[in-house]
Amino acid sequence: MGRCRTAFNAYSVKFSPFFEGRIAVATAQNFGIIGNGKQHVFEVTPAGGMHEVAQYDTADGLYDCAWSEANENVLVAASGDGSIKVYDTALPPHANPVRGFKEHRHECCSLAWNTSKRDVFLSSSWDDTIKLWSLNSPASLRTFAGHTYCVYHVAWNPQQPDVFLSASGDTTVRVWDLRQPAPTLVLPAHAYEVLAADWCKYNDCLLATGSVDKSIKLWDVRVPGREMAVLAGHSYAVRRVLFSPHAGNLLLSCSYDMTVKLWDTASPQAAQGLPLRSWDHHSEFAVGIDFSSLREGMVASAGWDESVWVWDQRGFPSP
Amino acid sequence: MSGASPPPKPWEAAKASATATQGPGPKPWEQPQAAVAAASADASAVVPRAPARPWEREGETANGVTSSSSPYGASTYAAGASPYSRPYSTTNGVGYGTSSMYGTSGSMYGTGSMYGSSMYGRPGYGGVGGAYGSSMYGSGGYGSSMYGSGGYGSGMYGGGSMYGGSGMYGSGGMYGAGGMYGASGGMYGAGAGMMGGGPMDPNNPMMGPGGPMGGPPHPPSAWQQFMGVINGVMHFFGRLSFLVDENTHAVHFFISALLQLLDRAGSLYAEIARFVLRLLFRKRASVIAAKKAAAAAAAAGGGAAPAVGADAAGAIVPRGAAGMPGASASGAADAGFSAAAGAAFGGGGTGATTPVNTVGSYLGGAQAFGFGGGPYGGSYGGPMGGGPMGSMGMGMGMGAGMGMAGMPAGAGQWDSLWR
Repeated sequence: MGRCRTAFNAYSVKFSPFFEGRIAVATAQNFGIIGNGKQHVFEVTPAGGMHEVAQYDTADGLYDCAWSEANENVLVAASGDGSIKVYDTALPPHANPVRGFKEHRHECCSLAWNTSKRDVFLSSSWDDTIKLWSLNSPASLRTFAGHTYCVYHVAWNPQQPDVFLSASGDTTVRVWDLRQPAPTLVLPAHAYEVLAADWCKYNDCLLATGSVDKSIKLWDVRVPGREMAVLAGHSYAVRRVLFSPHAGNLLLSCSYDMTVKLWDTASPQAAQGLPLRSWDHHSEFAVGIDFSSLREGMVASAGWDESVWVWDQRGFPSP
Repeated sequence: MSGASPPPKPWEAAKASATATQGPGPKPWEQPQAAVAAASADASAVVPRAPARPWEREGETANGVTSSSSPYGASTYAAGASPYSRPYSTTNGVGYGTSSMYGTSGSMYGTGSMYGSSMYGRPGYGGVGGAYGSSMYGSGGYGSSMYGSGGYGSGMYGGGSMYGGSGMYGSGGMYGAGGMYGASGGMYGAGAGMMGGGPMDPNNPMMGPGGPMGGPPHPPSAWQQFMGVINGVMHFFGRLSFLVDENTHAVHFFISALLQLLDRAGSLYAEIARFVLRLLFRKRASVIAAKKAAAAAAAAGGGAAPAVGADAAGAIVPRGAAGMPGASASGAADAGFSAAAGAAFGGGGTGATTPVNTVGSYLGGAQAFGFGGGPYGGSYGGPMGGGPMGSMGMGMGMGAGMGMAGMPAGAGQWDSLWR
């Protein structure tokens, strides 16, 4: 449906939960190693064009972003200096960022907004912690420590408002509950670092993990000792996995092998490493993906080739 | 529309329809939690024997979601109870700085110029300023640990709020250590200590020209700039190492791309090997020369003829050493080989005519030791290893052998770099 170029290397793309076709893109200069960052907001027109709605500069690279579930104009971005910037697209550019939370001691690399308790969101960082935030609060509400290495990804359980998971470089995935002080489950998911994990939207016990060992694994949290399936199709580390909001068996993944793959986790082919679809439209690492929850089939991907693509999962990306 | 709920998620709609249409045999995730608790026996009969979900353990009641008295319970964050979108409503404009809720922290974001503007700006301030731009927002952890500048924090310069609003200092707020930000002053202490070149002059903080009563601050001292640069370098490699860690393949790509870039002619490794060997030989040659000199000094006497021969042939022995009476026979052997090499490759002539007290004379070893390859290199190790040099000669022999193996013939072009 369209492609847009970004000035820097794109790290993350997220569909707005309010507006169909509106996406937020977090980018970082020089592959996020050093330099500035930019937060973009694009609007995909039905005709297939993409135009920019807003753009905000930051002094450090941005690694992730997330839309607020409570305000259609608010989004947060995770910065390389550990801070979380809050942007309001309804305000003029000079008023942004409207806030900044700086508690993480190292790079903040993932954000997740709770879809049920719509005022709280999570951030994970390379300082091994996860923090719970609310825009109502000047400081973090809570810090979840326990991982022994970078926490690369966090994701709320779509059906359990208090439950979330975290994927870490200490090779474990932990399931946390806001009502509990400690993780309720420590899942030694892979032999190598786990870069991403996500819950199935239709089965609150099912989660998928993606790892540096190139594989995607499906787990039932009630049976943590053994994975349900292994999807080995990527040839390099899997950077993000995401279950479709429209179907319980569709899983999107992107990888450092520059491909984006769509899996049918229910099909026997997936276990043999054959995805439903595989797109190789990126010419650099594909590091960010998202499903539109408002329009079935619409997916987006962002890559280090400074491009963001939006297309229909039944077709192919075309600029 | 501010504060409105987003459209329902697809899975929420699906869940509702599923529970509405489906009767018996509910899937586990469609089963209401209350039902699970109320009829646990039933549930165990219906649901396959699976352990409890993690969040249901530890005596948590099934309806704990709503009855929870924890601070994250529904009562605290009930939707609509406190629509926190209010501060973001457009009518509020720049209300972030002025509203009571964000009063103290809001002023942090007042200038906005702190973002990026200085990072790649002027080389002097820019480098330092950019590196610490982040401390604006927070603990300033870098700085305080690195410089131990707590002493310059809020305590000493607590009254520095007079600098706070000044746009003159770029990010301004860095001087507002104590007064401006009240309780959060400590957060900015480190930043102030580091950034404030003038007023925070460590040697004379109050009386300097940039003191509290003076004009603009000094630019950061060379030492501060240096530390800033070091911090930037540390930051860079820290970031790099984490990225490497996240994806070793990225490193592979990066390094191979780098190597391909450097190795466009395909001769990178050969060049590196030759350079390394050249360095090795250079060291060996000087050591040999020193040994020879020592041997010459130790020798009671000797003929000058071998030394003359070595000199004439452009041997690696420096003039001072080779010219000494009593140079050992190995010098003659060197000279002989060098002469042979020069004759065979035409390179020896330059070695012979070059003044031997230059670096080039030491590097003349390319000819003298058969460095340039050729048929004599392999055999050269023999006489040297067996010669009076002992172990040193052996080392040279090995080096020559390596040179033969690792290098293309005709390596004499290196001489042009050195002469």
